[in-house]
Amino acid sequence: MKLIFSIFLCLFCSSFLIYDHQERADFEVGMQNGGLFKVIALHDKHGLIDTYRANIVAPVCEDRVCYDVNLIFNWNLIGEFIDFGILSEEPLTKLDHIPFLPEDYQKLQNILRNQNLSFVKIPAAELVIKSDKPKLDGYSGATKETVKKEVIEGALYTCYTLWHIANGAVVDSIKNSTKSALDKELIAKIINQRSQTNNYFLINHLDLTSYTENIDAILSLMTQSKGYFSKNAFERIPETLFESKSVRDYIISNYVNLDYYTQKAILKKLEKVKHHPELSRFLIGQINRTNTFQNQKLIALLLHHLEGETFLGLVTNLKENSIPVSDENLEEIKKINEAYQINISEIDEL
Amino acid sequence: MLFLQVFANAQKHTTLFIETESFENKGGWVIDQQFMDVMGSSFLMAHGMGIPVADASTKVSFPNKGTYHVYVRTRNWSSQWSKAEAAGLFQLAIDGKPLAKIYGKDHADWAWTDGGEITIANKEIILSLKDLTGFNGRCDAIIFTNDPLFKPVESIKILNEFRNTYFGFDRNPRDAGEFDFVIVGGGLAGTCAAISAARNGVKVALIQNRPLLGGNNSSEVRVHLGGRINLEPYPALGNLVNEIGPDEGGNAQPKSYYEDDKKLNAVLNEPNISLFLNHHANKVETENGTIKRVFATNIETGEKVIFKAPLFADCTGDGTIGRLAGAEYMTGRESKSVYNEPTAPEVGDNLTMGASVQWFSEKKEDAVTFPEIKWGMEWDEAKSEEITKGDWEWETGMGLDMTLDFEQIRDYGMLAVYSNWSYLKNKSVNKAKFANESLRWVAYIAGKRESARLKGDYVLREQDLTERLVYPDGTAPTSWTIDLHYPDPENSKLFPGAAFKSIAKHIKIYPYPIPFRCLYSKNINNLMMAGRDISVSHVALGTVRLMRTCGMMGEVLGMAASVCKKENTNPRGLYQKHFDQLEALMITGVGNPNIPNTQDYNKGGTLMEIKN
Repeated sequence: MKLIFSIFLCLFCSSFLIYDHQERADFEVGMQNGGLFKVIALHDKHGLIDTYRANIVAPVCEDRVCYDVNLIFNWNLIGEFIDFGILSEEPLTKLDHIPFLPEDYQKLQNILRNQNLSFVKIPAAELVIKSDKPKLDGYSGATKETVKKEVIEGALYTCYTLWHIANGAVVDSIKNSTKSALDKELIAKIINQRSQTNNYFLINHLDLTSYTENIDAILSLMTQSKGYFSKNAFERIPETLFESKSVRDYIISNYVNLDYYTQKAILKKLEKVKHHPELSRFLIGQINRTNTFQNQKLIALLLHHLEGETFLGLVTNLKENSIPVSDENLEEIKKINEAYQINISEIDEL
Repeated sequence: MLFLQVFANAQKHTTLFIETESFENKGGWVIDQQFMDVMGSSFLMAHGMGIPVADASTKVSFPNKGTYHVYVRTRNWSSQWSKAEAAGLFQLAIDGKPLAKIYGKDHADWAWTDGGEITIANKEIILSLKDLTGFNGRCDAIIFTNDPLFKPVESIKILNEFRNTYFGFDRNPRDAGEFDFVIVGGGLAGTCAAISAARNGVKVALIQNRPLLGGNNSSEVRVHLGGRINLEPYPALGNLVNEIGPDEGGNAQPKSYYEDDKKLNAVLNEPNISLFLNHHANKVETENGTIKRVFATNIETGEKVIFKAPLFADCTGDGTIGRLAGAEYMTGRESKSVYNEPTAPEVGDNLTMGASVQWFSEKKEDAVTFPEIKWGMEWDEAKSEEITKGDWEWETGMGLDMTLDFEQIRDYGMLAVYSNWSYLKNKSVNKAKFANESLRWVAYIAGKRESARLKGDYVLREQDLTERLVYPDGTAPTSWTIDLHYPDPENSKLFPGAAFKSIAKHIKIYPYPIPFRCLYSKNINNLMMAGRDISVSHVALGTVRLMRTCGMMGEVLGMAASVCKKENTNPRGLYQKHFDQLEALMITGVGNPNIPNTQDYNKGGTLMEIKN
């Protein structure tokens, strides 16, 4: 057992954490320098995975002066970096062995959590502009202007190395670990954390069985979602579930309040499944004069899923509401009407 | 070729009219066309950043030797801010010998300075402009006359008629030919529109009033691209922006950062594009709300060129073509009552965002001097900015007219740069720190953010963006914050009513697809637009104005042009009947999807969804 200080974003107060080097690793992750670090999953009182933790020992060189950093890294369930802790007797240092200041630790915390940094995408060898002049800008070469803004002065390679450890191969390993542990309870826990990123993790990693078991919970995420989540979620939900009562009821109750791109995603899924008469009636009701090109998508969909009275209902709606129909859809209507022989001459052309 | 003709009246008198922008040898002088719609012509300017530029010269043929009266059209640009000695001074020289008269100091407005009488001893002479200061002296035209009754006209309208009659431009306009689609403006929006249309089988004319493409992202303005590409709901939009955009970011950086040739070569590689650089579109003929012809003037030769097409695009940023065609447009800030926007002011006003005059210096091995200017703004330690680079926030002109007052706006931006730099180099308590710094680049093409916005079938509002009210005709997704600029309060305290620096206020949004109805004019049947002059409120402009977004709008316009051509319809017809075709093209995209997206700079603080 060893005591370490933990540095937390904003608070910057120390708290004592426990790290057991002998504890069994859930998995190991390789580093660019060829080394490995062990990752363990920490569990909550219900035995569900809560976070992941690793002791990172890695060499860092600032202008040819190297030393080993020794830190504890923490990630959440889906591999997002949370924070780090340092061993009290092994503080981080900058160029010329100057110890990190409190604000440097805070800045490092922000850097390790930031996915929108440019410097991390630059190959390490190109981070500085090589120069013959010694000690320009604190280094043998000058740090690029764009890089300078993003890093801690005098700790460029510390930031670079640690960011790649915190946001590198470990992320996929954590996701795989969580994915293999997904059960109803863990899914419920992830949903309850109310994070859109978590929600995306779920819709991207659930299998058909999990989707089937949790479909109501997944659908409940749609209404509170932002951005394109609901569109993406409908795109991920397996097609067979679109024939289920849950999805059908959800569509009928919520379709009009969903944005256009979500509606489009639903219609696309409905192209490949059997339509319940109740759903067909609902979709016919969505064809109205205020929609223009959405109408054509709905008409095309319905014409390819004619069940029972759908065709008659569709034609009646088109005629009664004077809804114009595109050339392609009108051709299809004429073709189908050969079997029905009803009067379609009053249907307007778009 | 120099447009120089002899204009003889009945008494055999001779009057020669010489346009400086047509000089055979420009020396270190630059052509400035930014204000030609206001003051009448493009002109030559000595942009030496404090070091007199090399002479511009041209051959002039006189029918007879003898005595001639000289008139020079110029102005004292700094006199509106200082009564001290003028900034930009120059002389004329004949066969290398300077004439005594010094120009650029006698009057504040563009006007003819009487240069007195001179003797012409040879029928063929070399006429030169000799810069004396390196501080933006400017010369539009020169007249030599031996007609005692001749007086040059000051009225811009009559002077333009005189020029046209003299050179015969209006009599012999050049027909550029028939096109499917004429795009005016070669910034990122226009350039992308042209390439997109061309790749979709549309025959395009692209008209740009500078010698290079890229607009604010060109090496003449040096603003880096901003915003994100490859976003939902059309992730393929932006591939073209990625294809032609510079790899490296940064405002006010060395010229190579902006990769002008990359954009130019992309256009030159498209057989369907006819490119007209150095052409300023300034006249439009319409019939029943439909544009029939657009006329452009060559900013160097003065030649007029006619463009005909069933479809046009205004990518000028200023809404120039729309305004000339009679399109409805908006300027300034709408009041809250107009669109019910939370950020809009209670009372509407003319406060637009400003234009940036960026600059930077470089360190030399040895000390470098800079003139101690007398015509600059009053400066002291409190005002001094001890920096070596002026970025986007060196922004002027808020509250002024971005078209009518633009020369004043640009000049004030330069005046602030020179005033600060002269102080740093000569008077600052820390001047030693700047001893080896040399002013390397100051923009003379100012980077505009806002001028006129053309009204479409829909005007995008703040709440569409913040509440994400998406419409089925969404196109290019805008992703930058609603980023509105205001005069910097600190700078305003130091320079009351005349701030030259700005601050930005941001509201984050999720990527939002701009409705197609914002990309075509409400009342001009065959006019689309891409760039900062689309149909948005002042507040909504805060996000859509970013150049990667403008480029994606251009991609959409090119696709729309191909649908209009195929269906023989106009943009509104496309919206009403054929939007599904545009949708399909937006899903496919037009740029090369295989080029890795390495443009990681300046993406902005978007509310992004992280799709784990």
